Amino acid sequence: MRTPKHLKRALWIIALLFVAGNAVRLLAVPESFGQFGEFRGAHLSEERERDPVHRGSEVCGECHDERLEEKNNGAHGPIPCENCHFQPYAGDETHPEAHPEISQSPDRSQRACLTCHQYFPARPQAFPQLANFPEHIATNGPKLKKDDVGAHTLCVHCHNPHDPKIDLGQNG
Amino acid sequence: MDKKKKNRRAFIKSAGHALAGLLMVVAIPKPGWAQRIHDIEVGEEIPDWLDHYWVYLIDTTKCIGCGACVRADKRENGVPPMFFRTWVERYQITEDNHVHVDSPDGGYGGFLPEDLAQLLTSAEKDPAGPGRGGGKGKNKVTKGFFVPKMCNHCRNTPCTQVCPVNASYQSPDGVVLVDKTRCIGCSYCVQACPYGSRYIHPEKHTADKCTWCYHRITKGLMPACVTVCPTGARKFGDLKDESSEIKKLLATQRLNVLKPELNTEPFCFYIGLDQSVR
Repeated sequence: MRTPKHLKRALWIIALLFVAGNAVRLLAVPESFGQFGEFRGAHLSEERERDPVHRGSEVCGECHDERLEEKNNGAHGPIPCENCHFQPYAGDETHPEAHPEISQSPDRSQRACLTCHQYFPARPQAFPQLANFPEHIATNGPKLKKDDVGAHTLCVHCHNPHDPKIDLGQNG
Repeated sequence: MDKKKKNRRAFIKSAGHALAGLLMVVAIPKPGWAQRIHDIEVGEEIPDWLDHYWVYLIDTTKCIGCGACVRADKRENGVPPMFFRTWVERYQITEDNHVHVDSPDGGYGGFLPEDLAQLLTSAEKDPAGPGRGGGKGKNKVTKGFFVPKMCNHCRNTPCTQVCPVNASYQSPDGVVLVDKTRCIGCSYCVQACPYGSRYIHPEKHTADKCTWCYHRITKGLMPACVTVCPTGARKFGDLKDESSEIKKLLATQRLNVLKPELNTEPFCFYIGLDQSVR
C-alpha cells in the first residue's frame, strides 16, 4: 500500500514546523537562558559587575585618619562620612583630584543638622531632637560661657559635627 | 480474508508512523528551564549563588526619617528624580483617629517643616505648633512613626509572574531582579506589584526596582541604604549564615510584613509595624 498523499503532506508539514520552530528557538532564546532558572543566566553576573559607589568611612580614613578617629569616638560614630560629605544639598566644590565625586565642603546649614535632629512627634522620643532653636540657645548658650553665644546662628558654631556632644559639666 | 490481512498491514504501518511521530516529539530537545536550579551541581560556573539567601529587616521603632537611605540609594543606583527604589513614609495618627501619611519627595530631603525660617526665629513655646507635624485639640498627634519602604523581594512574586519575556525573575539567592536587556517596558510588573516598588525608567524605558544593591551584596558589602542608616533601623543579612545578626533578630523579634493577606511572602520584615500602615 502506498502512503496516501495527504498523509505524506501532513508529515512534511510537521517536519518543516519542527525544523523551523527549533531554528527560531535557537535564534530568539539567549544563550544562557535557563542556566539557573527561567531567565537569562548571564544577567546575574552582569548585575554584580557594577562598582559600588559608597565605599565606606575606611576609605576616607586612609588619608583623613585623624578625622575618622575623632568621628568614630564621638556620638556620630555610626554615621559614615558619606552621609554629610556626599551631601545632595552641598555646593559644587569638589574634592581635589583623588575622588572628584565627593563634595569637599558639606552643607553646614541648619538644614543639614535638622534633617535628623528636627523635633517631630513621629521621631523616636529617645533620639536627641530640637524643637525650638532660640530656646536651645537661651538655655544652653550661657553654659558655654562664651560672650558672643547669642550671635550664633548655626549648629556648627558650637557643635563639632564629628564629635557633637558638648560636655557642659566642665565648662559651667 | 485478503482484505482483513491488508487492513492489518495498513494498521501496523500507520502505527509505525504514529510511533515515529511520537518519538519525534519526545526527541525535541528539552528546554533549559526544565532543568531546575536545584538539579544543577554547584561548581565553578556558579559562584556562590546557592550559598546565600538574603533577607531584609526594618525596625520602624528606630527610624528617624532623615532620608539618608533615599539619598544614598539615588547616588548608588542613579535613580532619576521623582522616582524611587526606596522611600520613607511618615505616619501621624491624630486625636480624632485620623491617619495622616506623607512622603514629600519620597523623604529625599528628610522631613522638614516648610516654615523652617519661622522655626529658627520664632519664640513659640509649643513644640507641636503649626508646620511641625503637630497640632492642638483633635489635631494633636497621639502616635507617629516613620516607615521606610522598598521592594519586598517576595518569595511568591506577583511581578515576575506577569512578565511576558522573563526579564524579571528571582535569583537563586532570593533577590528579585530585572534583566534590562530583555525588558520591553510593558509595565505589567509595575501594575502587578502590590507595594508600588517598581517604576519605568524615564530614559531607559525599562522596569527598574530595588536590587538590594546586588552589585554590593555579592561582594560582601551591605546595601547602600543599610550602610548609611544612622540608627541601625535597616538591617540586612544572610539566612544561610548561622551566626549572622539578622538570623538572631528574626528569631527573637516580633515581626510583621506588609500586606500579609496577599500571600506574597515578602522577605522584607518589619519590627514594630502599626496596623495603620498599608
